[in-house]
Amino acid sequence: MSRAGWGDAAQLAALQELQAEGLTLDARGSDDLIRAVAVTTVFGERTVLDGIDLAIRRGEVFVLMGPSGCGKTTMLRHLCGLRAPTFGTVSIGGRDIHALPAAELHALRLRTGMAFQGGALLGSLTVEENVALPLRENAGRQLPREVIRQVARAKLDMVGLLPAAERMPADLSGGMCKRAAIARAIALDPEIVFLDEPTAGLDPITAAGIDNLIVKLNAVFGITMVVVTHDLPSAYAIADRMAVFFDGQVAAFGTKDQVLEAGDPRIRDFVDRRMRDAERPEIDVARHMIL
Amino acid sequence: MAPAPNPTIDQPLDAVRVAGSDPGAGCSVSVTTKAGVTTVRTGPGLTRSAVRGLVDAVSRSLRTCPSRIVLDVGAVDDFDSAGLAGLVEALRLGRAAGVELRLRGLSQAMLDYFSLVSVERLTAAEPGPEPRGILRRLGARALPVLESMATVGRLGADCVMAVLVDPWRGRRPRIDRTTHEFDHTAGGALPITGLIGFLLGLILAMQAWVQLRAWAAELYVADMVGVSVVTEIGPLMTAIVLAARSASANAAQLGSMVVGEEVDALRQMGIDPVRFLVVPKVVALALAAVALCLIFDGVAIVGAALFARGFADIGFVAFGERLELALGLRDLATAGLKCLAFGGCVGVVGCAEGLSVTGGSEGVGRATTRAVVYSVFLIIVVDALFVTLQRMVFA
Ligand SMILES: Nc1ncnc2c1ncn2[C@@H]1O[C@H](COP(=O)(O)OP(=O)(O)O)[C@@H](O)[C@H]1O
Ligand SMILES: [Mg+2]
Repeated sequence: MSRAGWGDAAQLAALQELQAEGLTLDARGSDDLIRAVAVTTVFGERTVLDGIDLAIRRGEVFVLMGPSGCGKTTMLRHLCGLRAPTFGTVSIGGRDIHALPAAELHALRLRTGMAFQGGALLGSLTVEENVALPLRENAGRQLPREVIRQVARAKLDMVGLLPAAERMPADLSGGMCKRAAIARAIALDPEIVFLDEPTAGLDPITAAGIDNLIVKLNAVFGITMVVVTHDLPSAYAIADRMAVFFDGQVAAFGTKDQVLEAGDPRIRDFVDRRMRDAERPEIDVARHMIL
Repeated sequence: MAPAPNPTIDQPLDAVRVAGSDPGAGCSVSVTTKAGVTTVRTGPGLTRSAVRGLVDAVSRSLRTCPSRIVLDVGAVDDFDSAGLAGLVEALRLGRAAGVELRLRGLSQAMLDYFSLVSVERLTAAEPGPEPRGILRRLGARALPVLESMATVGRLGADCVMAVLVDPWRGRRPRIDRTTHEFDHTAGGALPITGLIGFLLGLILAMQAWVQLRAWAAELYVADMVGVSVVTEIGPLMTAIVLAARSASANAAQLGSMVVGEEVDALRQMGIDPVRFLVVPKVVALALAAVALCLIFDGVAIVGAALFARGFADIGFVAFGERLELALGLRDLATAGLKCLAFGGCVGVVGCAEGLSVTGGSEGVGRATTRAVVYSVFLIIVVDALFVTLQRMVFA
């Protein structure tokens, strides 16, 4: 995964050239809403993402898949503008979001929503107040209190959490936290929603409910969905297109069928839930017995 | 928000309206009444900016007690969820007032939105908070304090058991963790304790000197400062410094561990969190209190002696002789015991508050505050007990 020599001057120049090329690609002419070019992330000595190129179309459900720890969450944080990659660019609607002035970044954030992996609900507010928070803070003067409340309750009803509206986040199960986080992510009627592992750790029925919700939100409101998951059935149920990450690179990209047909053995193993040889613990009983 | 023409996010961001916030668009709401039926017509934009007008119009119409209200949204071509929430709120108001309220002209897009929620559930009347008598309210205030005290008592007893009984049962005390904690608490508090000690010594000597000079009894500065610092002020000040520094830190640390289920994990692995986490902290704090108090006393007396030498013309030797006369071994011993008790209290209160955290990060904040307040309070109470006991025993 680690790639030595990123500091190398020649490679840096090559990379900058690549970036420049990427930037001249005109996103406005195409259907691509979000575009990542040569995104590379280095944590300390480790290269977690190694030159990722992605193009996400307007109005599609895009799934990022890959084994855990492969950098899916990191990629999502780059895509939504929370963290700039070490190298490479992310653009939304043709504009580099990591170079936006603060006011425009704020405007962009009001039009995107993100549901974090662990929920990230504010512990001091009830579930309903958590969902109402972005509206209250960003449109509080415009909207009557009761209407903000009704919006929050409607979003909670969409994720099936209305009965828990008055509870505190600390009293929720992990799955309920996730659903509340999704409700909060769609509170501002965003055009893009980023979801980090929305179905991980949920029972199959609740997970199917979330999948259904994602598809419906996409179909009814045309929200562009970027969903990170390592849950295969879920990915298959919702994805228009997907990218599979392996070792910090995009191993396959396209529709479900295209990804399967790509024939990458790692992806087949991932799909078949087989352990890769390299990761299988070596148990050589015989050798130990002989010695 | 309407599904078909998606707002274009790739226009210059500052020029694009934030979904449904264009000021004044379609705010127009018209109200007509015919044969007891009130019709409320919305304009083409049912968005954030139009909601207030809609809700106001409906509640005004409800006040005229119509037999029925029709909400006509046939003209709507742009809506967002705030707008639809306004419709739901209107329905709820009608339901609460017992007036029949009908929607007319819902577009397919709106029906799609409403297919995701249940209007029935959203407009259901909720039971208000049940009224509570004064006794219940008092109880709700007092109970947490009582519970807190009980927890502190139990944990204190547990710690005493662990320190006094465990070694005889073949359980080795956790020397490594205790020294680690001691290093943190005593080492970290050393500079501030020393500084406070020196300054307080100076101040006390000055105050005493001002008073005693009137009686020409300046030499007794040594007695006054020595006795007050060694028996009262030294133990008290070190304990308060420890409460501010360590009770809060312990409460925050253990509280976050509780929130992160780390304490439950320890318990599940068969590790007693009290013996593993709390006892080393409490023992370290008790010992740290003694050590810091000794240093505090020493530095304060040095400060007082310097003042006496500089301003009151009392030499170091004379000062020392007075001190020797004024202070006995008994004073030092009770001071040491006091410090042990104070340090133990600070440790137990901080850990008890930390371990009883509920309600996430806010709970951690509350516990940290309580840890400092309660441990300072407990220190004073224990001090009072000590003084009473001392008088009873030595009188
Ligand atoms: N802030 C960080 N500092 C250092 N390493 C990090 C940081 N965030 C993530 N990582 C590392 O990057 C890798 C990818 O993390 P992540 O994106 O969370 O994986 P995924 O979401 O695919 O499970 C992991 O090995 C993780 O340890
Ligand atoms: Mg992740």
